[in-house]
Amino acid sequence: MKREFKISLSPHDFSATDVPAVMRNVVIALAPAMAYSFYLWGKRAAFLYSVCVFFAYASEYAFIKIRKKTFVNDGSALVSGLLFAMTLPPSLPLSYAAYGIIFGMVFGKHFYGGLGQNIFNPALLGRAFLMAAFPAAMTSWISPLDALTTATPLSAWKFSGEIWETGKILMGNCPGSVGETSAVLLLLGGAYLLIRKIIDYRVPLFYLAAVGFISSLFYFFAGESYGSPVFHLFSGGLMLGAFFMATDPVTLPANFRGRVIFGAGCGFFTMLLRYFSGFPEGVMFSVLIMNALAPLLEKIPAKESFGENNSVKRERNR
Amino acid sequence: MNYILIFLGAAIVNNFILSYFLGICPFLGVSTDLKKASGMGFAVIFVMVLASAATWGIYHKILMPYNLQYLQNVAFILVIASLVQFVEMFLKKFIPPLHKGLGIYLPLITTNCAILGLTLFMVIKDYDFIESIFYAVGAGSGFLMALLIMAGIRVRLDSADIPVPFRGAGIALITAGCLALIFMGFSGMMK
Amino acid sequence: MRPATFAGGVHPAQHKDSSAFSIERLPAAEKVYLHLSNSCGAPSKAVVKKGDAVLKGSIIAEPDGRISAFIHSPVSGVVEDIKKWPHCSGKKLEAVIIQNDFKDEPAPAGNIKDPSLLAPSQISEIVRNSGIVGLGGAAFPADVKLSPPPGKKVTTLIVNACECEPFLTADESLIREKAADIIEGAKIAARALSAKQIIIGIEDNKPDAAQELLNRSSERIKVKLLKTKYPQGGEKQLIYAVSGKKVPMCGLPLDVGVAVMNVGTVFAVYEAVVKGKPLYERVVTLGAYFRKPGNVIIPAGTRLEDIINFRGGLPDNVNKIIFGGPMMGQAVCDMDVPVSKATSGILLLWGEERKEYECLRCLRCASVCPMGLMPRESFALYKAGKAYDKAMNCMECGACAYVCPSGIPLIQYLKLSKKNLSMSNVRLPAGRDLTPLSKNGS
Repeated sequence: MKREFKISLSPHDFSATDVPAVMRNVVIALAPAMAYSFYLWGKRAAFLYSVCVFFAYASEYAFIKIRKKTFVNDGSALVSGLLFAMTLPPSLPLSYAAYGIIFGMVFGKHFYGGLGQNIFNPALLGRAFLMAAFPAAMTSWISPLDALTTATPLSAWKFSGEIWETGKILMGNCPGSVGETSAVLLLLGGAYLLIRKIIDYRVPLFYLAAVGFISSLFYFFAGESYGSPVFHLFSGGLMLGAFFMATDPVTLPANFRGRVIFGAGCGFFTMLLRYFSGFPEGVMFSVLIMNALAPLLEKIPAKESFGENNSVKRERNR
Repeated sequence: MNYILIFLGAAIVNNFILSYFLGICPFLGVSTDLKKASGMGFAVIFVMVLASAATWGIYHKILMPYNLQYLQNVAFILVIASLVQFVEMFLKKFIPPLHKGLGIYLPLITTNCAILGLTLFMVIKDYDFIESIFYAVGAGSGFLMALLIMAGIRVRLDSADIPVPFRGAGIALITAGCLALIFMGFSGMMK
Repeated sequence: MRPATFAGGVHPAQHKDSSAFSIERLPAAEKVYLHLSNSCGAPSKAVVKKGDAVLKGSIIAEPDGRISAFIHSPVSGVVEDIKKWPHCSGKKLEAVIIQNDFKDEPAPAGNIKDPSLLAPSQISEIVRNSGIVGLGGAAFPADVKLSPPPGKKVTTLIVNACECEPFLTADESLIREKAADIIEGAKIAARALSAKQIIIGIEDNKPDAAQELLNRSSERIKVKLLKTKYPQGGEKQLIYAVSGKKVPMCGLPLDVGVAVMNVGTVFAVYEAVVKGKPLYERVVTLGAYFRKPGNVIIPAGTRLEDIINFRGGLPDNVNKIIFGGPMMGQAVCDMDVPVSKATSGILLLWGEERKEYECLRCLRCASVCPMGLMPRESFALYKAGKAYDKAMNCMECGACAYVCPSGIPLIQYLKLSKKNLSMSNVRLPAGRDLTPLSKNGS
C-alpha cells in the first residue's frame, strides 16, 4: 500500500499563535472595559457594538466578494468593529456609527489591499470621518447611568477649567466614549497584552512616558491650569489609544527604533493637541499622524546584526 | 514669537495642500519617490520666498500708493511666472539631475495655485515684509512636509495589493483625503 | 560576567521523552545504500566496483579534494551495484549498494598508538582516514576543522552538547553512557588543534548528562550550563553564550580563535584514534510517533523502510517523515531513502495544513532572530524585486518562521535573498549550501 507523505521545507514546527489567536487575545483584553461599558451605558453600548461589528464584517465580506477573492475570517473585522464602537459617544445615532465603520473599513483598509496593507488605523480613520461629517453629534456627551448631557473631563478641563476627581476618571464613572473611560480596566487589558506578548511594549511605554513627561513639565513649570500628569494619563482616550490603537502592528513602522519614536511622537502630538488645538482630545489625531509618518520612520537604520560590525569578506569557498 | 506662530500656522495648521487643497497637481505628480519629493519641496520653498518678497514689494510700494490694487492678480502672476523661469534656468545649469527629475512639474509651479494663493493670502492677512517671509517659508515647508509624508506612504503602497482601478492616482488621492482629514485635528490651534 | 545564553531564540515544545531510553543497536539490514555525496563539499569517488567483496570498515570511496570525505562500509559483503538511488534531498544521487553477508567480518584496524604521543597532524590524518564528518548536521569534514590554516590560532575547543532541536536525544544518551570516552575524544581533538582550553556547552534540560560531564571536568575541561532555548546549539550562539565572543558576519569560529565540534563528532574521533574504528554508524533518535521510539545505533546507508519495519512498522497517524529535527530537518517521502552517517534523527510526525495570512508587521520574527536580523525584510523586498542585504548573516535556524503568526515561510524568502546576494563575492557561512527552492514553493 503506497502511503503519501507531506513534503515541505523546514521548519516543521510552529508556534500556536496565529493571526486569529492574536485577534482573540485583543478581544479578551478588551473584555473588562467592554463589560463595564454595558454597566455605564446600558443598551446604547450593546447596540453600538452590534451595529459596528455587523457592518465591519458586512463591508469586509462585500468588498472581498466584489474583488472575487475568498473571505478569510481572521478576526480583524471583529477587532476593528469593537474598537471603533468603543471610541464613539454613547449618544451617537446608530446610522452614523454604521457610516463611520464602513468608511473606516473600506477607505481605511480595503482600498489599500486588505489585512496587513493599510497605512492608517481603520477604526480611527472612521472616527475622524465622523468628526468631520457630524461634528455636533460627535461632541455631545452624556453622563453614565442617567444619560444627562454633560461635558467630558477633558472638555471640562479645557473649556471650563474644572478638574474631575481622579478616582472617577480611573474607574470610568465619567462621560466619554463608550469604551474609553475606564482607565484601570483598559490598563488591565493592556497588561494582559504585554504579558502575552501580543503587542510591542515599546509603543505604549514611550507613548505614556512622553505624555507623563510633557504633562509634568507643563504642570510644574507652566502652571496647574495645564492639568496634572495623573489627570492627563487617565482621562480621555489615552489608555485605549496607547494599548489598542497605537499598537496595531500593521500601522506601525517595521523597525524597533522607529517604534520608539512612534510612541514618543504620539505622546507629543496628544499633548500638543490637548493643550493648543480646538479639540479637547488629541489621541485620535496624534495616532493617525504618526501612522502617516510611519513609512518615513522605517528609514531609520537598524541596530547592527550579530557580528556585523567586523564582518569578513572572503572569496567563495571551493 | 509671532513669527514662529505664523510659520507654524502656514506649515501645519493651515497646510496649503492638506487644508487649502492648493498645489495638488505637483503633490500627486512628484510624490512617488522621496528624492523627487524633497527636491520639489525645496524648489517650492525657494520660489515661494522669492515670490512673496517680490510681490510684497510690488503690492506695497507700487500698487497701493497708486491705488492700483485691482491689478494684483495680473501683476502677481507675471512675477511668479518669471520667477519660476528663473528657477528653472538656475536648476538646469547648476543641478541638472534635479531639473530632469522634476520634469514638467517645475514649470507647473508657474500656474500653481499654491504660489498665487500664498501671495494673495499674504495681502489679505496684511503681513509686513518680515511676516511675509516667515509665512512663505512656513507654507513652503508645509508643502515639503506633505510631499515627504505622501512619498513615504506611496513607496510603501508599491507592494500593496490595491484593487486595480485604484492604483496610482486613485489611491494617492484617497490617501491625500485621509491626510487632510487627519490634519483637521490641528485646526483651531489659536495660541 | 559571561552570559549563559544569547539574544533572541524561541521555545518550541521539547518532546525529550526519548532520552529515557538507553542506546540500542538496530539489527543489520539486507542491503546498505551508501551515497557518494555524504558530506559537505564534493561527492567522494568510489574505489570499489560492482562485484567487489568488502569488509566491515573497509574503504569504499575516497575524498575528491580537500572538502570531501572517505566512506567506509558498515557491513561486510559484496558490492551489488553503483547507481543512482533516492537521497534525502529528494534527488537521485550516485550510491554504492552493498549486499550484506551478515558475517560482520572486520577490516584490519590500523595500529593504535597512544594518543598523547601523536602529533597534531597525525591526529588529523587519522580523523580524515576514518571518514569523520561533523555530526551536528553540517557534515563538514572534521579533519579540515582540526587543521586551521597557518596564521589562525585556536585557543579553545568548544564541544557542542546542546542538542537544541526538539525530539532529538541522541547526543544526550551518548553523553550519559559514554561520557569518559567523550572527554578523551575532546582531549585528542584539542591536541590536534593545539588548543589549551576545552569548554563543553550543554543545555540545562539534560541534568543527568550534564552531571556526567561535570564529574569529569577540570581546570582544562570546563562544562558550561546554558539556558535551554532554540537555537542554543547554533555555532555562533554557542560561542557567544560560552565565551562572550561574537563571530563576525560571514566569518568562521576560527576568526575568534575557537573551534566548535559536536559531541558525537568528538566521540567518533575517540573511536577512530583509540580503537581504530572509522565512522560508519552513529546513534540516531527515532522519535515522535515511532511504535518503538528510542536512541538506536544505525549503520550508515540503512533504508528508511527497513528502520521503520525493525521498529514496529509505520503507524497510521503519520503523514510526515523528517530526517533531523523539526526546526531544520529535511522532509522525506520516499521509503527507499537511506540514512547517512551524519543523520541525527528520524521523526514520524503528523503535519497539519497551515493557513497563510498577510504579514502583520508584528516583528516577532525580528525579536526572535538569534542573528539580530529583520526576516520580514526579505519577504517585503522580494515583492519589490530586491534582496535583503543582511540575509548572508542568516543561519536558517527557522525561529522566525516558527513564530510568525501569519505562517509566512520566511526561511524561503531569506534563502532567495541569499541567492540574489551570492552573485557577489561574499563568503557563505560554513556548511550552508544555497538549497534552491522546490518548484511548488511551500
